[in-house]
Amino acid sequence: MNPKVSVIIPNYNHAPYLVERIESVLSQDYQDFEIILLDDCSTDSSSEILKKYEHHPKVSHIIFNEHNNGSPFQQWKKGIALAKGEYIWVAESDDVAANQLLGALVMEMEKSRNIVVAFAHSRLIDKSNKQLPYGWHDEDTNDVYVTDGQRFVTEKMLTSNYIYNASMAIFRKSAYKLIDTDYQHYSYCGDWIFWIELCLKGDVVEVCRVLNSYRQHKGQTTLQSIKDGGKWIEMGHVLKRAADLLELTDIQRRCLRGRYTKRFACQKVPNRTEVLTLHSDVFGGSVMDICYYEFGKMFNFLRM
Amino acid sequence: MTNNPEKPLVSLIISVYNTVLYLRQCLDSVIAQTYDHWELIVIDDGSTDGSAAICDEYANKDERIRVVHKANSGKPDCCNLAIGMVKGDYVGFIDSDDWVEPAYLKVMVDAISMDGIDFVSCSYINEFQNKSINDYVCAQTMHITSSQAIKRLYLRKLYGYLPGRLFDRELLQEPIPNLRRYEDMAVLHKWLSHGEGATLCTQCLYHYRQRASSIMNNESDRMVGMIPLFEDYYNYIREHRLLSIEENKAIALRNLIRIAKDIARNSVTGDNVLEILTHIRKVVKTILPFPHSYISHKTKHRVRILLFSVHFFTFIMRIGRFFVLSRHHTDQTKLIKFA
Repeated sequence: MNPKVSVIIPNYNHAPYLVERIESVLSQDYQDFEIILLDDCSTDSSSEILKKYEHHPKVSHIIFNEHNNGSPFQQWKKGIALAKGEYIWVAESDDVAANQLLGALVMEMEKSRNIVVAFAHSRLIDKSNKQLPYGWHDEDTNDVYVTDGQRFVTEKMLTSNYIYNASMAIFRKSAYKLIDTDYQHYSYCGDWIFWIELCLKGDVVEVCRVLNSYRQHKGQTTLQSIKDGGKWIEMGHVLKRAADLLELTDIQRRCLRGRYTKRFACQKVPNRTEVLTLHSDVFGGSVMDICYYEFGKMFNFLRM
Repeated sequence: MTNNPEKPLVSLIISVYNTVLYLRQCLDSVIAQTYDHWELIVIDDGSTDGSAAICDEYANKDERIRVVHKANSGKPDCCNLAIGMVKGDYVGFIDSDDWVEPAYLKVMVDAISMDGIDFVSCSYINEFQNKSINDYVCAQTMHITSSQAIKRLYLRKLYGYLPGRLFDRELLQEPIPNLRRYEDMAVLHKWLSHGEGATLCTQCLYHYRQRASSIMNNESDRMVGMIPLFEDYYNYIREHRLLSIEENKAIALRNLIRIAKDIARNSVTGDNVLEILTHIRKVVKTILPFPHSYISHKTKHRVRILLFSVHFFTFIMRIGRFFVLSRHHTDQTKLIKFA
């Protein structure tokens, strides 16, 4: 009998948080799951910690890479290929989950087969588990929203990656098989395009309860990518792909271009010319595009 | 026949009833397939016009063809009999008056071999005597989950045909119900619900011959046949939780009220319109209350009017006739259907 959920824990140099992570998975209220531990050739004491769990009955696979793979998304793919469960939870190795997370999300997923992604809210914590004074969602409202994927992506996923932390979401494996495997080749924005493609395969459920803690590090990959400008190049790819997948109309595309032109102009970008030559149709809009965007916000052209 | 892992065996099913004019073209097009690992099961449904002899002739010519003769009992029965006989991993249906492109099987098998896909639909070519028109199932080739495919079927965005599709054999668990029409659509959602993913192709590979003698003639009759079908869809989707409850309700209401509108608007005095509308009202009552989202205001208002009074609903819908400007006469009228 296969487990209902496969929990994938891809680790890279997160030894200080690893025990807390694995224990927070093992102590979930919902217990029908298997754990797949992946280590991307860590240089700290991670492998010793992981080996302690090797014979735990819940752990079905434990894999150590011989060479560092670099991209976290390659690790995701590897884990998903091994998974036997109907649902998949990629629990990143430095985050912590509340005990109710898996139970709450699986319960929502079970309500309909058309639901492909279910996610809860996260709070942000720092290295010493202290909650940060800012974040996306801080309060429980106990609402549950079921949205059509197409609508969810146009409303929430185009402005930014609304599912900002993989640990807070579970998804259906059968839907994963249908998406393009392009996301593995990204190094920063792979999860964004991954969630966009996945959400478009069905309905999305948002559970408005703070059930996950997303750990912030100094020098995190996201921050790093903003500094070296790699983020903008990948963002351009993601937005183009998303616009094609959604089959946006010309006006909607102009709105989108206006929004990102405005943002791009306001921020410090080290490789501005390079980004502009690559993605002039995303970041190189005119003043008219920005006007479209501003009016579009008022009249809900794009629902952004 | 050996089960070659690289080349899966495909079983094709043709049920023949008095199509002597078109049968040769159909069988020839199967023999001309570029993908050669197939078997063909021809069920002769008690034809009286010499079709049976043609079937036997082809069965002698090609050993991949098997023929069964039986007394006339209708197309669904024939297909059920043939489904029991298939040996292949994949099953496809072809109507005996249609024909397929040589690349048909190659493309379909390539598409269905992808991991996680167990249903493939190609696009169609509607064949008239004087014209053929491409009929695309989607704008670009797409992979969707099976519940999305059922949703499309339910929204009438995907045709409820069996021909032109390829199924994994695992899907064909329920028998086709013995209905006079819409038997394809009445079973397709059940089959799809056993699967995981579906592919819709934009290649037009299936020639669908438009025939005047088809039973789909009377518009109002056709509409009435849809009512039990949508009831069935609603209940099946609710039981198996294929779509969210809200969405299921919204689509069911939308479909039913559309039928009610068309029947009320196109009816003439003397039809049993009121009876049908009363029946629809009964069904609508079981679906209510209104879902919170997914439903348009137009549908909501129409449902409210129908609940208020059947007579008033008919009256309002008939007023609508005056506001329908004369439709543009496109080429549609000039198309000549086959005999």
